[in-house]
Formats: sequence, C-alpha cells, structure tokens
Amino acid sequence: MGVQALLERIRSRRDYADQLEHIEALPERAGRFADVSPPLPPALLRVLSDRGITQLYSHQAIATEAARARRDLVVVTGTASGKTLCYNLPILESALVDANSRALYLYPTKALAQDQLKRLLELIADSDELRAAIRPGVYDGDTPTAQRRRIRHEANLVLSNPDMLHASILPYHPKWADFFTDLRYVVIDEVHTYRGILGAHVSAVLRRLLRVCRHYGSEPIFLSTSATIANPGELTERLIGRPVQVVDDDGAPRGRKYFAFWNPSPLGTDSLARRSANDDAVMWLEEAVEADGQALAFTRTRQAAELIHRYLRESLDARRSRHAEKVRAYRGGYLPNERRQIEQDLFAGRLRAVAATNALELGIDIGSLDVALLVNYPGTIASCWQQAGRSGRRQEESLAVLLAGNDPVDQYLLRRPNYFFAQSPEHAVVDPDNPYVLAKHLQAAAFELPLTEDDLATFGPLSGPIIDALCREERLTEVRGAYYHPGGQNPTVGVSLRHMSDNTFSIVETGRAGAAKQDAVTVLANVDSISAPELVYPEAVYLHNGETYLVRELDLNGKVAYVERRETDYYTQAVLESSVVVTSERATSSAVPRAALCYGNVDVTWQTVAFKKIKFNTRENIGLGPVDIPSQQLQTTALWLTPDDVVRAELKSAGLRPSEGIVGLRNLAVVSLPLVAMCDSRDLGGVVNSHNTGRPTMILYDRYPGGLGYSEKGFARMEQLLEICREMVASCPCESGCPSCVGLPNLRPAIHSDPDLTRGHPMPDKEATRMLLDWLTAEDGPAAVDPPRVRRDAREVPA
Amino acid sequence: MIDESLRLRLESLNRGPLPTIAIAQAARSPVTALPQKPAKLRSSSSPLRPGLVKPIPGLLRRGEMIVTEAGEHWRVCVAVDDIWPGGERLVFNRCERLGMQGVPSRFVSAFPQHSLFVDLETCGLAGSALFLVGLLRPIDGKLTVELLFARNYAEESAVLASLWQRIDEQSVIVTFNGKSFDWPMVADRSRRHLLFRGQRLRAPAHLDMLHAARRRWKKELPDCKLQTLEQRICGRIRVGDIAGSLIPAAYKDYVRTGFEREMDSVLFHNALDLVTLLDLAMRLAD
Repeated sequence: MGVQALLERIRSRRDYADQLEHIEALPERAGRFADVSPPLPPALLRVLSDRGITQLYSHQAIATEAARARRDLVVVTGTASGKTLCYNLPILESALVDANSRALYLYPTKALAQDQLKRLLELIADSDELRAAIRPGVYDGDTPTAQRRRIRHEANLVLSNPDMLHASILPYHPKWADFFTDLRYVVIDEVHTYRGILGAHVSAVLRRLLRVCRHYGSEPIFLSTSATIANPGELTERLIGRPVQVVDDDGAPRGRKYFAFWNPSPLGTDSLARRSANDDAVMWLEEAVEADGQALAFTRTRQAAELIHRYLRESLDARRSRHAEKVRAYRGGYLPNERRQIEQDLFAGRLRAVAATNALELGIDIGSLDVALLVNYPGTIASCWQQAGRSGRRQEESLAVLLAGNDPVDQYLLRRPNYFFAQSPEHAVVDPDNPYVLAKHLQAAAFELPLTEDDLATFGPLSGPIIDALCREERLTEVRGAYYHPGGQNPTVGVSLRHMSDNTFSIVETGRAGAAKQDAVTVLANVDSISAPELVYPEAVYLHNGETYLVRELDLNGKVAYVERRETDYYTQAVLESSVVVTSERATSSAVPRAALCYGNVDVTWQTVAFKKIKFNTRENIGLGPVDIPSQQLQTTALWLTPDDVVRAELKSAGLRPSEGIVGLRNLAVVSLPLVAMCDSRDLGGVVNSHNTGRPTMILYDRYPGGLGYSEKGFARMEQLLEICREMVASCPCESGCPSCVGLPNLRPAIHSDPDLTRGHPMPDKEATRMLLDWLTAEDGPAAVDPPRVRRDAREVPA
Repeated sequence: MIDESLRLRLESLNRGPLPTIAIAQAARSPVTALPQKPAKLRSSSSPLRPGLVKPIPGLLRRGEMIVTEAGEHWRVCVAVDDIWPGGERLVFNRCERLGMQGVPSRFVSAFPQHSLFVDLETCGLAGSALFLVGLLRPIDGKLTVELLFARNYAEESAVLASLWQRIDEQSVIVTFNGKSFDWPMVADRSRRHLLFRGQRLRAPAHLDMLHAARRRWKKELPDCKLQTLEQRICGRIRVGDIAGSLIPAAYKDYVRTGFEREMDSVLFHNALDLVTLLDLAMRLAD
C-alpha cells in the first residue's frame, strides 16, 4: 500500500476539510549488519537462515557479544527491530554448548510469555539439534499443577513473570535448587513497564532472586529490552542494582514513515466541539483496507475499540466490501485463545483492520502494518511512539496518524506539532529504597534465606533500620547475627506487585432467553474484578467483537457475570460515583503558612450507581436505569492541602476562580510529586473536593492498599513540592495553560466507557494556579504577591 | 498482626536474660516415676488400650547437645516404654509372630533394626523451616523416641544432618502422610541447606501408614487423621496436648523467649505421634 495513495484517497473524499493539519516525514534508513566472533553454532545459524536471517543487525551482534562477555545489558531499539533475538541468540547458543545452562525469562504479562513460547517452539521446530537442547516452558499462574514439577525439573528456558517469581518461585526455592544452580541468564523483557509501584516491587524481587542464585552458587546476567523511554539504562540499573550496557544503536532498516496529525472537523453547532475521533478512525480504517493496506487503530478505552470495530464492520457491509469479514476488535478481557487467533490472523495478513486497546501495545508479534491510528492522545509521548511503531515496514512506507480528540491536550498538540516531535519520551522512575515496599520484601527475603550483613548491601541503606524495626515488631528474629523469618505463612501471600489484585470475573454466556442458566454455558471473556462493576452490571449491554450481549446477573461472590446474546440497538454506559473520605488524620504541618496541610488515612470508594442507554451511531441517550451493586474501596494514605480563606478571597478579588487554581495545582502536584517521592504519576490519585474540610481541598493519595509513603513524602516536603509546581508554571512559555503545566492529562478515562460520551477535562486557568502558588510559596503572605494585585487593578471584576 | 498486650508481654520477656537450658545428664531423672495416673484408670489400661497418657514435665531439659558437621543441635531421648508401658514387648511379639507365619510385610522384615519412624514439626506451611525431627528407632536394643530439636532457626541444618546420619541403604522410613508432607519437606530443607551439593538426594524406602490406614478403617471412621485413629483404634487418650495448629507459634515464642514449658508439650506431642504411629504400624502389619 502506498502512503501517498492513501492520503490522496482521504484528501479526495467529499467530506475532506483540511483535517490533515500536519504531516511529518521520518526518513528511511538502511540496515546495518555485523558478525559475531566466534560465529554462532552451526545449528543455530541454519535455523536462522531458514527464516531468511543470514546476517545479524548490528545491535543484535553487539548484544550477543556483550552477553558472551557476561555483561548486563538493555536493548533499546525500535519496534520490529529484532529485539527478541538480542537475548535469544546468546541464550540458545549457551544451551547448545552447555547442557546445564538455564535461563529465566520474565515478561510483564502472561500473554507475552505465551507468545514468546510459541515463537521459541517455532524456532526450534525444524532442527533436531535445537529441539534436543532447548526445552522451553511457561511457568505462571495458569500452569496446571500437574505440569509444574516437570517444568521445574526439565525446562531449561523458563518463561514466567515477576509476580510468579515473587509469590510462587522464590519462596519455594529449594524445589528449584537445580534450576537456580545452573541459572546463567535472566531476561527482563519490556523493562520500561517496571516503573513506579511495580518497579519498586520488581527491583526488590530481582534482589531476592540474585540472593537465592548466590546461595546456589550462580551469578546470572540480565538481558533486558525496553521501549523507547528517556532513561532505559538508568531504569535498568536501578532495577537490578548493577551497571548495564545500553544497546541502542538500531541497525534494522526502516522504510520511510509519515506521522500525520488529524483534527476532526468542528461540528457546526458549537465551534469548540469536533466530530468524534472514533468516527474518523472508522473512516480511516475503511479507506486503509480499501486501499489494500493493513491497519490498526489504538483506542484509549475498551468500549471505544468495540464501537469502532462495530461501526467499521457495518460500514464495510453497507458497501459490500470484500474486507468486511476481515476486521476485528482486540482488547484486554478476551480469552487467551481468541487473542492468540487475532494475533496470528493479523500476522498472516488475514485480518486487514483491528481496533485495539493498548493491550496490543506491548511486544506481541503481529508483524508490521501499513497504518497505525492513535485515536486520541494516548497520554504519554512514549506510548505515542510505541503505538506508532506498530506501523512500519522494513522497506515500504508506512503511516501513523494521531486523531485528536476534544480534550485540551489533544488540541494543544495539534496546534503545536513541533512541541510533540521535540518532546523527549517520559522518564521512568523507580525507587528501590521505598521503605514500605522493602519492609514487605525483606520479610520475604528472610523467609527464603536468613538475612545477614551481606544483604544490607543488596537491599540498600534503609535495609538495616527496616530489619531492626521488623525485629522490634517480631516479624523477624535474630539468631547469632542472622535474621530469620519465624515461618507460618509464606510472607508474599497478599503482597501484590501491582496497584490492585488481579482477581478476575468470568463473563459467561447462557443459552437463549428463557433457557435455564445451567444449560449451555460458555465462558466468553473475563474482566478484572476492580472494573467488573463498570462493565457487567445487571442490564448492561456487553460488547464483544462488535456483538451485543445483555447482562442478566452479576454474581459478586462467585465472580461470574451471566450474559445472553441479544441484538440491541443501544449500548450502555455506566454512571460512576467516586469519593475520597478522610478517615483519620495522622499528622498536621504548618509548613505552608497560608494553607492547612495534613497527612492521614483515606477511603477511596467508587461505585456504579446507574447506567445510560445510548443508541448506536447517533449516540442519543434513550434511557437511564439504576444499578444496585456495592461500592469498591481502597484504603490508603493521603495528604491534603486546604488554602485558607485569605488566599481564596485574594484570588476571587483578582477575578480568578480559586477552585480552578486548586485543580491546576492538583494537576501539577500529581506530576511533580513523583519527582519528590520517586514514583510514577499513575501510582497517585488526586482529587479536589470540599466535603472533608468544608473548603476546596486538594487530596493526593497512593493508589495502593495501605499506601506506599508517596503522599507521606509529599506531606513532609510540601515546600519543595510547591516550589517545583511554581517553577513549572512560571517557566512554561504558554499563555493560558498547556499540557506541560497546569493541564497535564493524568486523568485516565474509565476503560469501559465511550470517550465520546465523557466530557473532556477543561484546562484549568493558568493565572489562577500561578497566583495560588505564589501565595502558598510566599514566606510571609501578601507582600510577595504584588503582580497579581496589579493585575486585579487592571481587570476590575464585580463581586 | 500481634495484639498490643501480647506484644508488650513478649517484649518484656525478650528484654530479660534468656533462661539457660540445663545440662542434660544432671536433669536426666528416672522416667519410671511418670506418669501419675489415677489408680482405677491404670488398672483398666493395657498396652492394647493404654487409656490416658499424661505429658512428661521438663522433657526438653532431659536432652543433650549433639555436634554434627553442620553445627550443634539438641537431642531428647525417651524410651517407648515410658510413654506406652508394655508397648515395646507387644510390638516385638507381634512382629515375631508375623515373621514366623511368613507374612510378607515390608514393615515386619525391616523391624526393628532397619525401620525408622519419622515425624516432623515445622514452623508453618510450605516453605517454612522445620525445627523438630522426631524419630523412633532402636537404641541399644530398646525402642526409643529420639527427638532431634533445633533450639533456634540456625540449628535446622544440624538437625537434618543428624537425620541423614541415621539413614543408610537398608533404612525403611515409616511415616503418617510422610509421602505428601514430611519427606518432601526433608528433601526441600536439605536442598535448601545444600547438604547434598551436586549429588542426588538419597531416597530411602518409605512406608506411609496413612494409605494403609485409609484402606483398613475408612469405612468405620469419620476420618483417618492420626488423632482419630489414636483414640478410636489405639484407645489412647491425650491429656494436656498442644493442638498441632498452635505449634508454629509456640516455637516462635520459644525462640524469642527461651521459655520451655510449651516446648515440653510440643516434644511430647511429637513423641506421642510417633508412638501411635508405631502402634498403628503394628496393627496394620499383616
């Protein structure tokens, strides 16, 4: 498919109205190759050449040589640049020459491990020698008990995930004694996903892993891969606690790539609102498949993926396209087999267009496509490039299109494409020294092997005092200078590496209407328990592969939603209510003279209270129904800040809205607290409400049960935090607020909602935020805030 | 989570000096004085229906220190006859009779010189340490319960080393549910302590009485737990026993405080389990 031809098709449409606001051409690049010396084993070379690989890209050669020299490394090259071979070549070579060599592969998701198992099996299938030497096996929560023993004892390549390593492998390491004795390589794939809370946990898990390996006399090296982020080397070093070699000189060839910005045309009625980016994505997909291209649309929510797929299908049917059968939706919640099928069909070219969530963003191999559509800004620059990287041929041209939504952030980027292309991808922050995380993992470590002096170096400077505290709390016992866990239960039970538990609900299809429930039930999909009440409440219409199912019953105890196939002309949208309630105050501070500052416990609750029926295509609201299911709760710690009455009065008399200033401050604080507390902004929640203190209050909380000390650090260092916020606003050259200052898009859409129905969040007033911050950071109040006063005089506002 | 008052108590215990464990020989008192049973019960009891069995106070103090290549640990020995008067003769007689009848029983052919009864006490669920390997075997011609005890977590490897010293090619391990629990635990903990670095663990012959007991008594009894069999089949009644579920916490407290009383109960609990296992093995030996 030619990109120019597709663009021509789009431009010649009757409804084309200059929506293509910017096209950036990213130049093509020739491939660079290199040899390794000594050469790879002949059997491996034969398998590679059978797949058309006769030469290694330079980065693959560098990675192989580094691994042979026993150096830890992280490979940071583009999508489809052959990153997997960077770790598989040295590992397969090692397994061929040394029958005892074993490797552990850690993937962030079970799906990725399955995908890689399949690829490994394909790779070795045609070679007797490789089949004899390479015995891969997936060991994760889905592995049947009957197979676990065999995999522990026989597999020399074990594919797993950090959660499994944490809870089910390390605590029972004697069962893995042989494996750990012979462990030579640890692969950390998609290392950029291990930041914030997950990263802090994973860094502790990897330290536990190294300790157990040392006990059994092995010293494996780490082979990591990362998507493009600002600091892959630093992130990996902090995760594993050792220096790493960064391999980022991408030798893979790349065809010319175009990155287009598309702004849906304004709706006549209201100059600010624009056509739905979803609708335009349908148009784009349709044009792409009709031009014989293969296209992928990334949506921000699962419902959007379903809707785009449905509308695309209808549209292709209406024009009797031969491609109508060749489009699909892809998202989290689909059963593994269905996902595998879609991935394979996409890879083989049988599917021509897929509407997907970021579930397809991680490195599952679907080949390279002609067009990647980003339907609304995905939230980070790094995600943009990751998704855009899904299109890209080695030789031919490819296209990525950002379809802007109505959100101020999207519109900001559309107005300033240079800002987007100049912006470096985000930093990934990880804190291996978080005391709350370490306290959990030091207990686990002591359960595995007693902690000794040597371990203080492994777990960092805080480990000594934490061990001391754990002894005082009788969680550990000292015997002759070593610290033992008293046993009982494995201490990793109930310690999740991620924000929330990974319990799932099953979505089960029952027979036709009227049939008994127990007849003909098939599991259709699953959904995480946190968001199940937003998706499969009674009377909801559940969308699956574009088809409509009516939810008959939600069994909260059994974790099952019963649905039946029912053709409806509407879909449903949950109406959510959430609240943050302060339950107890643990500390107060006078660090900010012009505000009350507290730290304490909060309950964050959210609940589906009603649902709307929305007609397909027209998006008319055709009804409302109540939902009666219990709320969900997160008990955590938070800081809250309430500017005093004087400040609010000053803002008001300057003609500014105090509440907008506080919302702006919240947006800034959610981004700047990670700098102070070493977390990821996704680990934090922030709200502004008045019902706890009687005045507009900013509340920042940790998105982890019990809290992880992030908001606590913000509380302790509020002056520094406010100073950073003030800097960010003051130094931003924008006029009235932009995503880099007051309007950063931290707010994730509910994953089961249609973004077209949720109101975009307005960019808060920059001036109000700036004045609020001037007041809050001023040493002695009003004297330091002259400029706003001048402005108040200049702009007289009636009370 | 520990409640506040318990925490305060244990903390004050923890600050005080640890009570020292007395040297064994001095404390080794004649066991014949035990237990003091009411006369009428004693008169009604026989080795086949032993009736009430009372704990032996100060059991832990009767022990002695053992030195192995993997360090020191504690050992307490109690003659089977002290816990089950007349039991030893009963078992010997029965095995002799079965042997003369030519009953092809693995238990009978190994008994007594090659049989090793094993029962563990652990710090908790899977992955936790073990702190007591209870053995029942002939020592100097007398059937003896030999308790290999770790006085703290650091002595576990020495306890395991002592266990392996007592196992040879001809040994036949006798357990209750040991194929699922005790022996995998011994294997895991031995690997954990690198006792057989680079070599395969020895795998001695193993008779798990749970399976035989199930076959024999499943229909008559509500369950085939050891304690159920002990009461209903062996007619043995424990007094002042510590519940198995409380043992990990009791050991944790002992390591912290050095207080022995609960450990005496734990040791006796284990010794009684072994005696009942012997009793059951005899009853199942045909």
